Amino acid sequence: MSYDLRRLRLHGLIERTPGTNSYTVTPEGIRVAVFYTKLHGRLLRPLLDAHQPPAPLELRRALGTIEQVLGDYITNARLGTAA
Amino acid sequence: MTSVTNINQVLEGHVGLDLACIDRLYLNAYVPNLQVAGQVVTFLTAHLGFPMPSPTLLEKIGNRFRREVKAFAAENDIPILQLKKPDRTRFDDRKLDHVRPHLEQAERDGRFGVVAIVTAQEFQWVFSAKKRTPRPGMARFEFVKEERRVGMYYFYVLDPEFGPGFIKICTYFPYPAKVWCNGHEWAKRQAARAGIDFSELANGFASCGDPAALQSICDRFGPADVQAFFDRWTAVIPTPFTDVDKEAGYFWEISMRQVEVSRTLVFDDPRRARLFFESLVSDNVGVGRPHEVHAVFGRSRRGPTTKQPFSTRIFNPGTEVRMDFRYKNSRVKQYLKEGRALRIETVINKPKDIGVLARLEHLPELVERARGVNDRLLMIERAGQGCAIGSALFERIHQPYACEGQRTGALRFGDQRAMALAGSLCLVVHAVR
Repeated sequence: MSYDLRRLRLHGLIERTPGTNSYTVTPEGIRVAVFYTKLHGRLLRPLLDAHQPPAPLELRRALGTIEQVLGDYITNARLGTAA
Repeated sequence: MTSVTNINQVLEGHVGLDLACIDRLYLNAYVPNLQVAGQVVTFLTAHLGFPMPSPTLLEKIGNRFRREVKAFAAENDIPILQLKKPDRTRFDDRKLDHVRPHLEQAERDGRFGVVAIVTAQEFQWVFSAKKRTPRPGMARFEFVKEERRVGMYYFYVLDPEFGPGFIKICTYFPYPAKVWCNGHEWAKRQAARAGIDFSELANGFASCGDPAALQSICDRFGPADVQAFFDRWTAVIPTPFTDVDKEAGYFWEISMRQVEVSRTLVFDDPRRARLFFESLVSDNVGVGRPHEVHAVFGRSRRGPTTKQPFSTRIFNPGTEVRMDFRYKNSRVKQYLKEGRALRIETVINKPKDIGVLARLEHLPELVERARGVNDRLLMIERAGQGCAIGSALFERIHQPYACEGQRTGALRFGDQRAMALAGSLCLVVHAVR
């Protein structure tokens, strides 16, 4: 816990209230926290699961097409399987 | 404002007027020394001088009050409207809708006073007397408070300071009363008197030549103005209490029943307001969750948890989109006012919800806290949109960093611990600001 608090404090994301064990979040801290969680929750995770519902049908179809074309390329290259 | 759908872009360049003002005020008027049965007996015996605290005495006072109301209406040529139970399926079947023509006529004529009296039957907490006869030839009465359907008189007034308002008086003992007035209407009249140029937006303001002066007028509104309104009209309309009763301390005091405190942001170009507001609603659909509601209201989650279900309600009255969420007995509404302004309204139905006492003298404290709720909600919504950070800041936190001669580890995006820390900061981020 103290390691994380120190890390957040030295990065300027939180600041200690003098004379207490309380911390307040700095404006930079707010932006970083919301950016990290929103980017992760609304962009990264949905895109990593883009091949299955509830991802949009168009995206799933496009990914299927890419997978099929890549598979054809690999088949036509006749590389064989790794030993 | 061609592609504006982000609240930060809207608030930083397209707000013509930002005004915090009290909206609707609905107040309780009660007689503090007529609240329990013993006080009723004292009123009837020690004050009125009757040997027996009989309910027939109360009936006489009630009948006298009814007679006086009818005489007052006849003398001043005031219509008495007897309205049926309102039709809840219609949006325009409120009492005010029936009285509005009278109010508008009085406004056109520049005639201040009681414009209409509405009679209605409503449930109220009143005293009922029960006869207890311990033995033949002896009578004894017991007074108990009950919620009963009783007659009410609504005195709709057009006030020189407040505009439309009403005082509603119950015809049954201890004559509980209610007061309705509107802070925006008060501010409009004060602004006109001060020579401030403005245009109206429903009951609010669409534009103003001097926003700072208008805001200072809104900030000036306080308990003294409301008390003056009440005193002004209770001196004119008939009341069940005589001058002797008033001198003896048997008169109403005011407490807060419902206070709406609003913040209105009027856009300079409302063409894309609807698009912007819908994106705002969809981004903040989770604002009714317990931890967010507590953050908005700035209340600690320690102690007994509230039993109300937490929810965000998004609904379409007509063609509008509205969002509201509750906290205990109170709620926060957010909607587009006539498609031109973002209105945030905190409706405090019980001052105790936000740690304020209910008597009128505590109105400034309640307004300050409710304004805090409006501001925090806007801050939360702003923090949630347009939160991209610059590459310099991203690089700094993404790599080990040395500050004040101390080295510290990186907070890498995607790292489980860093993400958990960012998530936990998000939970407290609004409470600490």
